[in-house]
Amino acid sequence: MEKTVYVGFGEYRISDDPDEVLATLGLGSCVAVMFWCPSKKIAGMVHVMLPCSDGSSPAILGKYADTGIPVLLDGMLRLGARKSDLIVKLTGGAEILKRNYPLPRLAIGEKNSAACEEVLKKMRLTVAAKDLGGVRSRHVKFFVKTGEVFVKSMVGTVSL
Amino acid sequence: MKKVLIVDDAVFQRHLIKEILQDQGLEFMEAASGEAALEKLKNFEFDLVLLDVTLPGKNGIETLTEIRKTHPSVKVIMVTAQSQKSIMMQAVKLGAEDYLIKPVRSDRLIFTVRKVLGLKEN
Amino acid sequence: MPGYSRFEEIQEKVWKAIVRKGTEETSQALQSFLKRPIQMTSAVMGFLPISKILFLTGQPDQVVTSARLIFSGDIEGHMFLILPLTSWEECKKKLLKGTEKDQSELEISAFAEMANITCSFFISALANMTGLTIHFTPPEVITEMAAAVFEETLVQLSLETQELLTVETTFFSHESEIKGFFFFIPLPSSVKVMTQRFLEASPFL
Repeated sequence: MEKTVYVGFGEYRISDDPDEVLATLGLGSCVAVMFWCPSKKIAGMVHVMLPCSDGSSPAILGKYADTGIPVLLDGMLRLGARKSDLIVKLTGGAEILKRNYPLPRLAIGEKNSAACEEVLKKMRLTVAAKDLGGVRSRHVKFFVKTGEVFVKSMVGTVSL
Repeated sequence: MKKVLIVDDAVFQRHLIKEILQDQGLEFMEAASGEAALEKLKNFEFDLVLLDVTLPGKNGIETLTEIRKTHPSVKVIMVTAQSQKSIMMQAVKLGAEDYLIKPVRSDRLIFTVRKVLGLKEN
Repeated sequence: MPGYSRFEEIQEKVWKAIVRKGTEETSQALQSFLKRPIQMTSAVMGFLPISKILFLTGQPDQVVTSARLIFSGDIEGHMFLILPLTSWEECKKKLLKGTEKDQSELEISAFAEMANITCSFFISALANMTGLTIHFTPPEVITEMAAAVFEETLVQLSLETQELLTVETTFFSHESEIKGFFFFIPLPSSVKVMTQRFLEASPFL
């Protein structure tokens, strides 16, 4: 039985239940960072909202790229995943098109994407696949059993 | 033919007003800001200005004040959202002939425009 | 509506009165704008955790046209007018009849105008009942999957709170396939201000 578990804003979830699908809805400027350990079939997803915590300790750890990604890795390792095995995938970081404004104003999506990639690089994790940027929001499904990621937007679905 | 200047930053609102008034035998020009309206008033003769209150840059009240100085004979009807009803007293004091609340009702718009322009009832 | 937590009795009473008046006037305005009878259901309201807000329209996957307006002044928060794409197509038939085909600027302007009118009537009912001064921004119009419509708001507001008072009203037309949502989401600090001011204005409620 497939079980969908939604990972909300600033939340993270780690699972080794093969029936679970980690999902997130309406990902616009936020970024979903996903880790999968193929040997242990452990999956983890964090829903990053903003690039940097500026040293403060956020009430919700997943909120920022620089706090959320380390917490996710830590949790994965504690559950038995091996860092060298990890397959890393990223999606999100869009600037949702406002139809009556010519340009996006804040570029939070771009900053979030850059911050996530930077943090991963510092942690010596290589990104295997990514679908970042653009002007459309994304729904994400991440299958714990297979590590497959499906990204749905208004224009169609891609797999990572 | 009486000439009407429609001032609203929303293209749909201008479209709507023209559509409602299309059979009244009037000629229309449009402006999307107070500044553009004042520019049009310099170059053309108008009988009536339908003036939105919420405009980018110079707002409707400021534009009205300016029009009263430069073109005292042109009639002005203010068009406004419900939440700004209180401003209307100010507009009338400043010399607006009348005001209309959005969403503008067709019968009300036709009646008010004809009344202000001194046209006979059809 | 799943996930609503308990809403204090007095607050609920106050808000019901405010919202009833707001929706009554708003439905009149929408009716006049859309040129057809519009019914508005009585509002559902309560405090919702931020993560539940993505499910507000019931179908997070559905493509919708939405306008967001941010209000400020004595109280602060966000408002949304949301129509499934099919409903908006239906509205356009009457609003934009007789215009040429590729009219996206006019279409967006029409939707923005509809949002302006809806929010304007709701806000002015609120202001009249409480004596509060409230301004709002021009609408930001997007066409997206329903869940995405709320993201920017939630990212901004989640820095301050994990729970938001959400007032949800559904409107529909029996005559045609029109259905839509109006959401009023004040900041938690504004909820208090409104309740107090309303009680001062109508002490015998």
